[in-house]
Amino acid sequence: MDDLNAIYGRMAEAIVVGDPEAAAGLARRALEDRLDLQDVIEKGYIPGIRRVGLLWESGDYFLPELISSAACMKAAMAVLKPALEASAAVGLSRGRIVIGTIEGDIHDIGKNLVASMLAANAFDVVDLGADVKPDRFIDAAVEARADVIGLSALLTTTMLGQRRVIERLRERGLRDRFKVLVGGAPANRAWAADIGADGYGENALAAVARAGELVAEKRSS
Amino acid sequence: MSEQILLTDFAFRWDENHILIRVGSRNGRASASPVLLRMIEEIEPEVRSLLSPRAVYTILPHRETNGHRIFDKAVQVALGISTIGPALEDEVERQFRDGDMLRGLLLDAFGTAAIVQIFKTVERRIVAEALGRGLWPGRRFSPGYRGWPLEEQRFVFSRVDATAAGVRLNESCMMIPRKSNSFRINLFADRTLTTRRLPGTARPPIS
Ligand code: B12
Repeated sequence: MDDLNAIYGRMAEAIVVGDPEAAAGLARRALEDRLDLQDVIEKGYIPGIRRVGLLWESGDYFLPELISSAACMKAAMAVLKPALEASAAVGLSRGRIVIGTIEGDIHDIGKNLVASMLAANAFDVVDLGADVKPDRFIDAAVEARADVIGLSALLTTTMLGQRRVIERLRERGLRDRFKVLVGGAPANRAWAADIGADGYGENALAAVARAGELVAEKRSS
Repeated sequence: MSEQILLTDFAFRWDENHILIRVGSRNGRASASPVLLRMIEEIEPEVRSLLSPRAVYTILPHRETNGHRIFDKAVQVALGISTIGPALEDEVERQFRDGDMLRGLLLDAFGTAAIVQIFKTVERRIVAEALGRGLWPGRRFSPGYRGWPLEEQRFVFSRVDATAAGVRLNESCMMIPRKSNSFRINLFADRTLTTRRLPGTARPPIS
C-alpha cells in the first residue's frame, strides 16, 4: 500500500486540477483498501478544495475552475457516501444547511454555486430552489434539523424577504434554533446586521467560511 | 388589446468571450482552460436544441398606459416580453442536481446570453419601427429596475399577450419560464427627450 500521505496528496491534487475520474477512482481505492474514511475526507479531499479556494482568492482560479473542483468533490463523495452511511460515521458532516432563493426571486445561479461549494466542503445541503416562501425555509430547517438557514436574494424587493424569514422565526419561537446566513448581490454586512441575521457571505467561498463559523458557534452554545 | 407582434425567428450568434466572462473568467479566452473552451464548443449545439425563443411586443398610445412616471413625456410606449422557453432551465437544474455543475453553469450562461440577444433583436425592431413613424425611441427599461417596481409587471402583462409568448406571471410577479425578460421603450415626439444613441444621428443634445 502506498504511503498514506502520498494517497491523501493525490486526492487533494485530483480536486485541485479538477479531474473527476481521478477523484472518484481514488475514493474507490480508499474503500477497497479500507482506509479510514474520515481521514480520507479530512486529510485528502478537504485540503484540496481549500487550496482551490486559495487559488481563487489569489486570482489564479476563476469560477469555472472552482466549480469543476466542486464537481470532483461531489464525484468522490458519491463514491464514499454509501460506506459512510453504512458505518454511521459521525462527525463527518460539517453541518446541515437549508438554502434557497427568497420568494419573488428566480435568480438562482449564485445560490446554486453557494450550495455546490457548501456540499463540496462536506456540509449537508438541502437546496429548496428558487422563489421559496418564508415558512417553507423554516419548515424545511425544522424537518432537516438544520444548523443554518441560507437565504439568497438578488432583487432589492426580495432582500426584504430575508428580514421576513427572520421575523417568522421569531414569531414561531424558533429564532434560537437556527443560524441565519444571508447573501446575494444587493445584500451586505450592514444589511445582515440590520435585519438581525447571524452572518453574511459575499461569494460562495465566503459562504463556506461563514457557514463553518456559524455551525461552530451554534454547536458550542 | 392593441396589435400584438409575435416573433419566433431569431438567429443566435455566440461570442465565446461573453460566455467566459459570464461564468467568471475575468479575462475571457486568455485565462480559460482548454477543457473549458472545448466544453463551450461542445455545448453549443445542445444549447440551440434547448431554445424555443418567443417574443411579443405591442405599441400603445400613452393614454393606454397606467400613467406611471416611467412613461412620462412619451407619446407612445412599446412594451415587450421575451423568453427562451423552459427547456434550458430544466436542463440547468438537472445538471446542478445530479450531473455536471460546470455544464450547468455554462448552459445557464448561454441561456442568459440568448435572452439578451432576443430582447435586443426585439428592441432593434421597435427602434426601426418608431423611427419609421417619426418618433424617437428612448432607452429600454425593465420592471424591477430602480424606479419601476416589480409589481408593474402586472401592468405590462395586462397589455402584452404574454400567452402568445408562452410566458406567465406567478403570484410574486416572477415570469415563468425564468429565462424571460420584460421591458418598455418610450417613444417621444421630441428628439431631445431621448438619451439613446441612434444610428446615423449624433448623440442627442443634453437638454
Ligand atoms: C443573470 C441575471 C438574470 C438572468 C437570471 C438567470 C438565473 N438563472 O439566475 C435573467 C436574464 C433570467 C434575469 C431576468 C430578470 N432580472 Co436579472 N439579473 C441578472 C444579473 C445580470 C446577474 C445575476 C447573476 O447571476 N450573477 C452571478 C452570480 C454568480 O452572482 P450572485 O447571484 O450575486 O451570487 C453570488 C453572491 O451574491 C453570493 N450569494 C448569492 N446567494 C447567496 C446566498 C447566501 C446564503 C450567501 C452567503 C451568499 C450568496 O455568492 C454567489 C456566488 O459568488 C443581475 C445583475 C447583477 N449584477 O447582479 C440582474 C438583476 C439581478 N436582475 C434584475 C431584474 C430586475 C430582472 C427582471 C425582473 C427584469 C425583467 N423585468 O425582465 C427579470 C426577472 C425574470 C423573471 N423570470 O421574472 C435586477 C434587479 C434589480 C434590483 N436590485 O431589484 C438586476 C440587479 C439587474 C439590474 N440592472 O438592475 N436576470
